[in-house]
Amino acid sequence: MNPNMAFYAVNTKIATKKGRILSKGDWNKFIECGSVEQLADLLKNNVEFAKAFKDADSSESQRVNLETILGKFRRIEVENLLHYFSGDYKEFLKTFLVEEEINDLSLIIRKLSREESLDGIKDRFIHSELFETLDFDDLLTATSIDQLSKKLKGTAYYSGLNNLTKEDALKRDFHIEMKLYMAYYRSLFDRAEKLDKEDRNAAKEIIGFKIDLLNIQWIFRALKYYSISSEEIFIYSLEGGKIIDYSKLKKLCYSQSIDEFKGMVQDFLKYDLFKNLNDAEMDINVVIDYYMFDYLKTKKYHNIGIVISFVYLLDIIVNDLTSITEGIQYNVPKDKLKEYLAFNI
Amino acid sequence: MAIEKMVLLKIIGSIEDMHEILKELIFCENAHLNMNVENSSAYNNYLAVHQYESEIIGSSIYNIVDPNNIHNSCSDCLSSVEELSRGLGLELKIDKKLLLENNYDYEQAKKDLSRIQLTIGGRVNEINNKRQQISELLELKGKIDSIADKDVDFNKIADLNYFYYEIGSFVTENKSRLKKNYENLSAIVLKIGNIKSSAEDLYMIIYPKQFKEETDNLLKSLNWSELVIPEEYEGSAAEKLVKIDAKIDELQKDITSLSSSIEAETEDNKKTIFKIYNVFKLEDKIAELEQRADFGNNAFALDVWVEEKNKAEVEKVIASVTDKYLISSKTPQEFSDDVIAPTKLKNNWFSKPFEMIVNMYGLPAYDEIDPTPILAITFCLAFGIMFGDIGQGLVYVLAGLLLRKKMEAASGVAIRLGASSMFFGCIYGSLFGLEKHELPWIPGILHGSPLSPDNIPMILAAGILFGILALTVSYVLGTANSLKRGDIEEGIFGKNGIFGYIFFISFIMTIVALTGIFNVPMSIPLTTLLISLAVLIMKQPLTSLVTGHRPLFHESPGEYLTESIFEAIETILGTLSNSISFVRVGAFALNHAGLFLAFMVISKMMPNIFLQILILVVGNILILSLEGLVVLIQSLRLHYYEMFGKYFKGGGVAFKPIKLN
Repeated sequence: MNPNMAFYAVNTKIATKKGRILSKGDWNKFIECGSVEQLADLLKNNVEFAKAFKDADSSESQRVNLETILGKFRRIEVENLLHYFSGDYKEFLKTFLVEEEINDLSLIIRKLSREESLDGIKDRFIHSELFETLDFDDLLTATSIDQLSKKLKGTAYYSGLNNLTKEDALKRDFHIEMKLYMAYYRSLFDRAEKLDKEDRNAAKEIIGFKIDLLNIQWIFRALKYYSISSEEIFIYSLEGGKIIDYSKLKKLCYSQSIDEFKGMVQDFLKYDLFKNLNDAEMDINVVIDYYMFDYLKTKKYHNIGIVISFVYLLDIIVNDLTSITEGIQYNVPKDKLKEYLAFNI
Repeated sequence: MAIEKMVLLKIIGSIEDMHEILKELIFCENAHLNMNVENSSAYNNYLAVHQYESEIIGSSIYNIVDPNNIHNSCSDCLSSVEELSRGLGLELKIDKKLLLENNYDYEQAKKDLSRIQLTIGGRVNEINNKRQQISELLELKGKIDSIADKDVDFNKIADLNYFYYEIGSFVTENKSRLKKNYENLSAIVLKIGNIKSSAEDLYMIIYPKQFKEETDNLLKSLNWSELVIPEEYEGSAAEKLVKIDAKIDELQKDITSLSSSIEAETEDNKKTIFKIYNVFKLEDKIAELEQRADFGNNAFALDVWVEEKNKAEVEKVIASVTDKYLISSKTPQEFSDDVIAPTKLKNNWFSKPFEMIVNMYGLPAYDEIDPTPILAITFCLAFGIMFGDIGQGLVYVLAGLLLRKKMEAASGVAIRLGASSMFFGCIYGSLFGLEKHELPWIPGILHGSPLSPDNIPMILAAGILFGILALTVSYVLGTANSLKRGDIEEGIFGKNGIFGYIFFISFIMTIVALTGIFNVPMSIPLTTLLISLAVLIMKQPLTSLVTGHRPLFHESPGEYLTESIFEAIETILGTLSNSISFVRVGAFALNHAGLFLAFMVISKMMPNIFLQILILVVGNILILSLEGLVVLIQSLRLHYYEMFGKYFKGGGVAFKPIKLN
């Protein structure tokens, strides 16, 4: 028996949490909401989502605040699960909290590059103060990108951002995002190495699958929206994919057109990922989430995989709720809005 | 147990006296700043300030300077002083005596600093600049020196018509990315050396001018850091090195002449610079405290944690400044859970070094029981049982004594573990692996070798017995900790509480009854086992019944029971693995004897006495290093996983008194 993981307890806990989070009755009500305030009220009535509202001011139900609250939701859920783990397993799971740190760090970088004040930015932070790896109070005293970069010295993020300039932050925002994600996934793999064999393999499998999808998403965006060279696209891609190995990744990066890229993706995944992307308004994120959701639903794990799957499910749920929030704000018809969700209600 | 009692002191005084009060508070080094700023309202600071304002001072209104301004000004001045001292080769130190000298204050320090900067500041800056240049040149030299072929003349490729070149490095992880995609690059990448100081490779990149933008972007994505070599150092690498050396010599000479020109002034101003430094440090610290204070019109309030035993002393220190003050104190128990009191461990000479092992796991929270005294005993016992040997234990004791000055805590642990090893060595009758039948004069209680068939079951059983005792202590502490927190559900009905313990003991007794070691009727432990398991499953409704909480279930009963039954399965498996885990204590004791036996057999196969002794010495060294390490890790594992998990959370905040340095 693994002394670092209370598997049966965590398995049951996750099953209960999933039951609460994925209640179709609740989601149908979410979709029907007429205002963001109403959605916030409904979320507060759900045992799981309510946790994220605990510290929030009840009057704060504007979209920005709800987005922050939803960001906190994933973090709180991961923190809750940490109670069932110790040692290397706990360290591994703690790494998933880095994603919230990246979110907050990117927020600071964005503000500094636009020469905006950092006042009040703390209210929008979603990272775990309990397990933070960065001294955010110190980072907030930075007045320029250069200063911030110096303050990051000695952290896992430094090697990716050491020669960051204001122009990079303004014109090449993907540079920051991808460099931070590289550091994040590298530490996830490093931590996974310390798990028992079965858990390690499961972790690499799911994370590898997620990396495949992140790479597809990145290359799609790069081909469609950024004018950067294929070499750059390749360098910014993440390592450790499950299905898409290095040579396949390279082929994708060097696609001559979006259609060629789509064809190759279908060929590699044996699945037509882009079949629903003909709708001009449909976002690549939804397509990716939809496929990931499907994968998580069909794959059953009896090891740490169950926790990682749950964490990735949380990502999808947060994205879907954000889509609902936006849908409500922009009066998207309810049936149309349902199509934009990865969770099939 | 073993955690210093704390009180939160609310110091209310007149703003007029604030500076002196805070100064004395820093000097007494007994107060820990309450960092729960957002919780200060729990103690109604503003109310207190206004309530006592009229009582504390008369009519005069004293204006305070914004502490943020003081902090910024001090930071600027401190960096100037540090620059000065670096240029003059002075080592700045905190010296309280200098601060106690009369009539030297912040304003005077500022004036003195300006005066010194006026007289020698310019030359000192020059020295610093030149030193900075030297250090940059040395770095550049290190990089150029790493170029393998020193005769390549870079001038020849500097002005090509169609190509640019760059020299630089990128982090190792990007190297493989570049390699895998090399065939697609429109640039030539040549490795030209390896930088010793950073273990990074140095590369030269040559690319067509028309691809400049593309290459720049590519290099950016690889976090390329270009090596910029100033034009004055032109030529081949060898020539560049000669030029750099010449420049360094020239700068050194300039520094020597500048230093001698200010020698006399340096000596005159030395003490003043030290004084200035200390005054700014103090003012900066005072400003930091002021930032944490709450203010009324004439009064301020500051919350600090002090050890209960030092409360009177802190009051005395403040009374020495003024009689216009009020101090009230509250114990941590009077606050809600949000207010976190700092932890200062208090242990006796025996358990003190083991604080290191506890801290590696986590510092106990203030309201937790400090596990150090218990750990000190169980750790020594576990190590001693697994590694019992008079001679090898003595080596650890001696090693601990040798390291005492360099690594106080680690050496303390080594001495105690060594002593425990010696004690159990006396029981097993073992000296450097040799046993009583080989050396009849050594003490020993055990009849025959630990590996004799009569002793093996006894030693394994002793391991489990030790485990049962250690876990009993863990359950007691777990229950006490939970009840201390007012957590009845965990303390009484939880898996680490009273019923958890009943379950554990019945589990052991059921196994005893099954194996027939003692004649116990099976029905008794089995019934208790099932009842306690049912209680563990129903812990939430049972707690609600006891506390009068309604509804009995906090969530839907179906959901609760599903979760709870699975947790119960986990508890059964956990209890089984807990008990089996402690078999390793006995197993390692046997392993210790077995390992030496192996060396003994090899030694006997040797043709002469010298080789025989050599094998035994090597064997002992290996046992002392490798097996000692393994046993230490096993002891840590037993404590961290099997024991701490039951009663220790370790989320404490360390008590750090406000000090100047």
